Amino acid sequence: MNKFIGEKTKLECKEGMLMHPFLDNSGLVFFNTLSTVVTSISVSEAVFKQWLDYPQRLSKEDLSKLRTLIDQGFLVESQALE
Amino acid sequence: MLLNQHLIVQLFLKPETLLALTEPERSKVMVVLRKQKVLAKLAFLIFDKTLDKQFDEKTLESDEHALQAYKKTLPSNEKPLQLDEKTIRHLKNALKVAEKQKEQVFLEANEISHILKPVSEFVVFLKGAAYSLNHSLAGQGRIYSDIDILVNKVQLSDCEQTLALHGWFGEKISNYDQRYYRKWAHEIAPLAHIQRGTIIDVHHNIIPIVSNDAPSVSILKNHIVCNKNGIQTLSLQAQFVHSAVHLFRNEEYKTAFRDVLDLYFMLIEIGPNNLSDITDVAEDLGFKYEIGLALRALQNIFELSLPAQTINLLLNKSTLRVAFDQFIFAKVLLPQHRLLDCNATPMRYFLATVRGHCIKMPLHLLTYHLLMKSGRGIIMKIFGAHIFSPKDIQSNDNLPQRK
Amino acid sequence: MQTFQLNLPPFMFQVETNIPLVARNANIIYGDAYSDEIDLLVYVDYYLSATYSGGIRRFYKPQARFLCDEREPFQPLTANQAYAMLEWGMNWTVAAHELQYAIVHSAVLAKDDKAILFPAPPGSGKSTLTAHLSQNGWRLLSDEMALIIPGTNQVIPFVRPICLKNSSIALAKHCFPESVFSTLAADTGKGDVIHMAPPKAAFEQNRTPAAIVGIVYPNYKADRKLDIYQLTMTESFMQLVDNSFNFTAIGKSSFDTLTSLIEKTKHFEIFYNDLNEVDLFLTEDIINVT
Repeated sequence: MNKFIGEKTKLECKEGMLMHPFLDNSGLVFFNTLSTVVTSISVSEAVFKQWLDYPQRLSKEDLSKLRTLIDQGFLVESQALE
Repeated sequence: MLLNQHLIVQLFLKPETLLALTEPERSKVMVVLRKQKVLAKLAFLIFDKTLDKQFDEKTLESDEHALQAYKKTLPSNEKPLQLDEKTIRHLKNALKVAEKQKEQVFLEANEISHILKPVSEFVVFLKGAAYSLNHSLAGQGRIYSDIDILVNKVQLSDCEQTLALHGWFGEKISNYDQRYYRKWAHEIAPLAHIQRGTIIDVHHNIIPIVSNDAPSVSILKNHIVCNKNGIQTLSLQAQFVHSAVHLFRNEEYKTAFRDVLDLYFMLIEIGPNNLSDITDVAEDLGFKYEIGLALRALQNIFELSLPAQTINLLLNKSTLRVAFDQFIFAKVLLPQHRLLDCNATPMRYFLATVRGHCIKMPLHLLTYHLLMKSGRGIIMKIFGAHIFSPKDIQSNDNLPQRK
Repeated sequence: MQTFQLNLPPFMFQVETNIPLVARNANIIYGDAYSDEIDLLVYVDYYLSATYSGGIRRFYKPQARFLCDEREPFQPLTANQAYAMLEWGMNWTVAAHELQYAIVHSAVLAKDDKAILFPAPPGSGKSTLTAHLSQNGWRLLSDEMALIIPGTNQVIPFVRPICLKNSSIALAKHCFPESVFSTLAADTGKGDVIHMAPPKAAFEQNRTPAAIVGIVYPNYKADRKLDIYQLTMTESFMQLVDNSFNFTAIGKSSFDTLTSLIEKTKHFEIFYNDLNEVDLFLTEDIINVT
């Protein structure tokens, strides 16, 4: 997808990707069954949802984590209308 | 009881035959089919609900008496029987692998097509990968070790370089083998992906150039089709011809039974009444004789009734030659395993192998090739097959210069 | 050529060998599970062989080859390592074929039918810990492979010997002089290797599953008595997947099984040199509180 994260960009989980938020709020794990990549991110589900809705507000460090998820095919730009 | 080849074939014609076997017999069948790489295929036939409602395991009950009765006759109003837990486990394990590989193939095909599109006139997927990509019957429950693609010889180097940029590298093989591949064969040596380990074979024709029978690129192009996902393959009829040509010109027959099953399922899908579609393509590509052999073999092995006239016309060589070929293939194509009672004598195998070599290469080259291969073969016999580590194989190349 | 059967639930192996030490060791390690009277009515899952390489290597620096259903998954070893080779071959066979279980590379020990997984890469000292626990009141379900039933937190036994390496060998022989040991396989790729037979109790309960209540990642450290770190679920999941044999081959079902399992278990990473302290910790802080 287009790497540019603009003012109005929102992200969502790509269809067919598996995601699981753990009960202890320690993080989420992602599994791409096709490429067989497994990865994790150490924020709670609530925080992660914020990341997806407002990627523009993220720090450099958090943004780069988000970009990794995009590169690995877990996230795409949301098709939902404003 | 010793299982025989005929029984194995019956399993694919009537999967319910499996129920008539004892558990130890089924255990041996699992091993034989796994070795032949067709276990997942049987699993597909058994577990695919659309094919045979009788086999729906949810509705099956167990009945010891029925099992005995079943062995004597195939009842017309089938009393449902149950497969044992171990057989189900082995079948499902095999099917899972095939399904997983299939998923992987879609991913790889998209990527390979995407990478090569800018540098290659066409990127045609062949053999097993193609069957899966087109969702054909031959592709169901099929496993394979690599992905085969066909590109134009003119762009072969460009393709190789582009693939290298994306992580596809040639495996370490001897200089001799490299030269053989490039000059005489119809493909470059296999490439493996550095991370995923997937192997692709890049071909530039469907049979080795050196045999003088290889069709021209322009003719091949007539038989390329594009599926709805934008992936190119040969037409189903051309795939049949390609598969038959490989089977009847090959040097190795270890998975011949799997290849013959592929042909059977392709024929079912094309329709045994549409033979002219196949023969037209065979004519175009110049392989009528091989198709004749294929159809004759399918007829004999799978008890099909095909028009004798058509087949006879295709088998357009001397009676002696046809008889000789049929003699060899009659047995060699059937599943081989030491757990099976095989009627084939070792002599038939030897003949088939030499025949395969004869067709591929002109005689003077054949002798050289065989000498190189057999030289190593003799060393291996004396020293044991594992004397060669990869390092050894590379340094063993004291090659006379080819003229 | 000798043929014997190994009844190791949930699998039945039939092994062919012309190397005498293979059959001898299999016999002493497996006891009643070993039979050289071939039962023709039994369902054999895998046909294995451990045989001498042919040609000159049959006599000069003899080599042994392992085959599963006539496929050869690895390079041959020297003939004196043939029994260890068979054990690794059995691991390979199960890991390569059995997709009906989520298989994790770990030891599994249980008390009161509550199991703890000990996933561990080589060198972590896991096997010494396994040997100790199995001789001190814990039931051994497996030394190398946890077979987890998908969709559950149940692990089934796959009772096999404990593989000990290098310095652990002398230690085990010293601590457990009554135990049964195989002959030594010297200088394998992993160093010196010996197999220690599981206790009889393990065989007696080889069909009894257990519920997984804890996952502990062991690290032997000569200078630390016992340091315990609790892991988050995310951390534990990532390590568990790293130690998983067939996770990617199975796909979604494994993902669901393991994420669900993680949420029902306790997770710790431990650094230790005191096996008794570890035993106490596992019993009091995991088994007894569940």
